[in-house]
Parts: sequence; C-alpha cells; structure tokens
Amino acid sequence: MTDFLNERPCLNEEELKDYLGNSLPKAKAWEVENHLLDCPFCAEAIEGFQAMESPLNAKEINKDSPKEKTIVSMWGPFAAAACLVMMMFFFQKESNKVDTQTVFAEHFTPMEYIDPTVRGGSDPLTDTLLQEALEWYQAEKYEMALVNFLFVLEKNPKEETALFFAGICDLKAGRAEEGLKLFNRLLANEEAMYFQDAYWYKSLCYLSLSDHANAKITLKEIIAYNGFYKKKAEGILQEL
Amino acid sequence: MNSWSSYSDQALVDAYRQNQEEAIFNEIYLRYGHLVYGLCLKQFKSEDQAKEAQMEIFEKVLLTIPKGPIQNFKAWLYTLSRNHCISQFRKEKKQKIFLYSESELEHFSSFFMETDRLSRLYTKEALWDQVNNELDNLNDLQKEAIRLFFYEKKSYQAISVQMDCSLKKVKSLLQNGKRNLKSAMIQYLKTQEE
Repeated sequence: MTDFLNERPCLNEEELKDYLGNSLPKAKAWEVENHLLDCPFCAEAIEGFQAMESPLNAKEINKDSPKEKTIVSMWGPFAAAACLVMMMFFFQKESNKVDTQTVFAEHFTPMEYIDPTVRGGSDPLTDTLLQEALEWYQAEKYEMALVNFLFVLEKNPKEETALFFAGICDLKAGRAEEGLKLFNRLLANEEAMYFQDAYWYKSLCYLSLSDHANAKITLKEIIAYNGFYKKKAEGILQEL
Repeated sequence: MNSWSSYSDQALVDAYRQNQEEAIFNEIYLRYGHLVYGLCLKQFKSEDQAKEAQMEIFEKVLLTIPKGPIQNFKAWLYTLSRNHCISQFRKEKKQKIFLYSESELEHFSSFFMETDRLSRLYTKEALWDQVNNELDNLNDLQKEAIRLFFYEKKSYQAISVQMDCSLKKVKSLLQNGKRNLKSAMIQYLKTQEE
C-alpha cells in the first residue's frame, strides 16, 4: 500500500488504446488511473478520445494492424519530413530577426505585481476572477492567469488591469501579436492606469515580432512622452 | 525498438538539439504524438481540427528544440499544446477556453512538480505513514474516495458505483484529495525543517 505517488511514465499509445478499450489487467489499469490523477497531459488526452464517441477511434490509435494504421500513427514520419523542410524554410526566414529579438530578450521582464488585491470592481464574480488571475500572475503561472484575464475581459472589455496583464502573459508566451492587440486596446484611453507601461510593452511586442520600423516609431513616441520609460527607450533606440 | 527508445526525454531532446536526426524526432513523436492528439481532440471536439493542431504543434516542437535547452520536456510540450489551442480559439473567436472547470484549472496549476518533490524527500514507507496521518483531515467524501482507491485499489468506475456518484465526481474527489494530502505533507516537511 505504499504506491501513493505516481512514478510511472506517461501512457504509450498501446496502453492508451488498451485503457480506452478496457482491456488492461486490473492492476495495470489501477496504475494508469493513479498516474492520471497527477498527469493532466495523459488525463486530457484520455478525455479527448473518450469525448469522441466514434468507433473509428479504436482503429485510429491502433498500431497493430498495418492496413488500419491511423492517420495519427502514419502521420509521424511524413510529418517529420515535411516539418524538416519547413524548418529549413523558417530558419532562413528568421535569420534576419535575430537582432531585434535579442534586444527583446534583453529587455523583457514581466512587470511585477506586488499587491494582488482587487478592490471593488464591477461585480463579485469579476473581482474574484481578477483576484485569482493576479495571484497566478504573481506566482508566474501566466497561462493560468491569462485564462481568467480573458474571462474578465469578456465581461468587461475595458478592464485595465486585465488588459494590461493579459498582454504581458501573451508576450511572455511568445504571442506578441495578441499582446499588441491588448496593449493597443488599453492605449485607446490616455488616462488608463497602465498607459505608460502599456506603451513600453507595446514597443517590446514590435521587437519580439522583429518589426524594426514600428519598434523604432513606438520608442520615439515613448521618448517624446517624456515619462518614466524615456531612458530605457533611448537606450534601446541606440542599440537598434 | 530503435536505439533512441531507451533514452530519457531529456537525453532525447538534448540529442535532437545537437544533431536534428529525423529518427530522434520520430521517437519524440512516438512518445507524445498520441497525447497531443488526444489533448487537441478534447479541446476541438473535431478529428480534423485536432489532426491539424497536432501537426502545427509538432512543427513548433521541431523548430523550438534546436534553439535552446528545455528543462522539463513533458511540461513544456503540454504547455505548448495548451497555448496552441488557446491561440486557435482566440483566432476563431470561440469561447471554449472558458469552459475549463475549476478543478481542471487547479489541477493544471500544480501537476508535475509536487510528485517529484515528494518522491525525493520521502521513502515509500515514510510517505505512506504520512498519508495515513493526514487522511483524517480530508472531508468525508474525499477520504472515502481515497480509501477506496489507494487502500482497496478500486477503479474509478467501481468507486463511482459504490459511492453512487458520477465518474467526473470521483476523479475530482481523488484529484483534490490527493493534492490536499500532498500539500499537507509538504507543509509538514516545512515545519520539520524549521
């Protein structure tokens, strides 16, 4: 009775198929279920297959029958080859981006949020979600935080804190285009609480996207604004 | 069995970063392709969309590994896959992303690290003693589910029948119960260290 912890690796394709088909020995099935309690990757994959009620699923992940090899199984080598070709294409395309992305990497840090306390927003649910999001943000669980920020923005599209920190979450995850949209929404209001910060992160979005021209324009605007990001902006502009 | 199958994830990813051999990538795909596909199926509820997303995710994997070290490949790939699904939903202006239940989100927040930490700190026997000590602090339903699963080795299905509740409820009770036990043990460890 000492196997409280899950120490087995993730389910391979065969085990997954057997578990779904209810054909694992009892002890092995228990071991799998213990693993699923700790591993959302496997748990979500299982739920995904279970949610698709089509009987084709059993065939689709079956590697035993060569004629019935699935798209999933057959796809691997083909995809690997296709991806290698694409990779070469992308590497060539990205070779010109190195400078701005290096500058981005040097200057980007998610803005610290010191006091994750939400004081009196529009409704209790939004406040709770925002509070939770900021706590996740503070704990550096950016994807978790983002889900809540987006929910808050559904309810209240102009919520400044959610707009700003969701943008940082996107930028942190390498989705600069999404971040840029959020910062631009915030910048529509010059009185916004995070106005200057959003401008700064907007310039970082352009750097991340290797958009040299717009990065320069935004940095010049920050300098012209003469706020507390002026020196940083001047420093980057010299580097570019 | 190929020569790469005995490698750990870390060794495999490091090897691929160094020489981009197709066989290494195939081994990575063999280990995780079905999990990524299943995760995408859960999100998209469409085989075509899931296949497309799976392909795009592995393209990203292929492009990203050579760029630098990845500390915990499984956690990284899981996050990458979820991120990909999130960004697809946002592109399509769908709101499914908000349908994750609270328990799923809680689960996601703490999954990979706790087990590693505890298994480093406890022997199996000491761990089990501590589990027994902490069990009484769970609520009655969690306690019962944990008892049936870990002591009597019952399946989710059997527990669902015995406790007269849904499978979803059983998973939630077990996940939350197990996490509470782990948290209590980590807390206990901290007090011992002080």
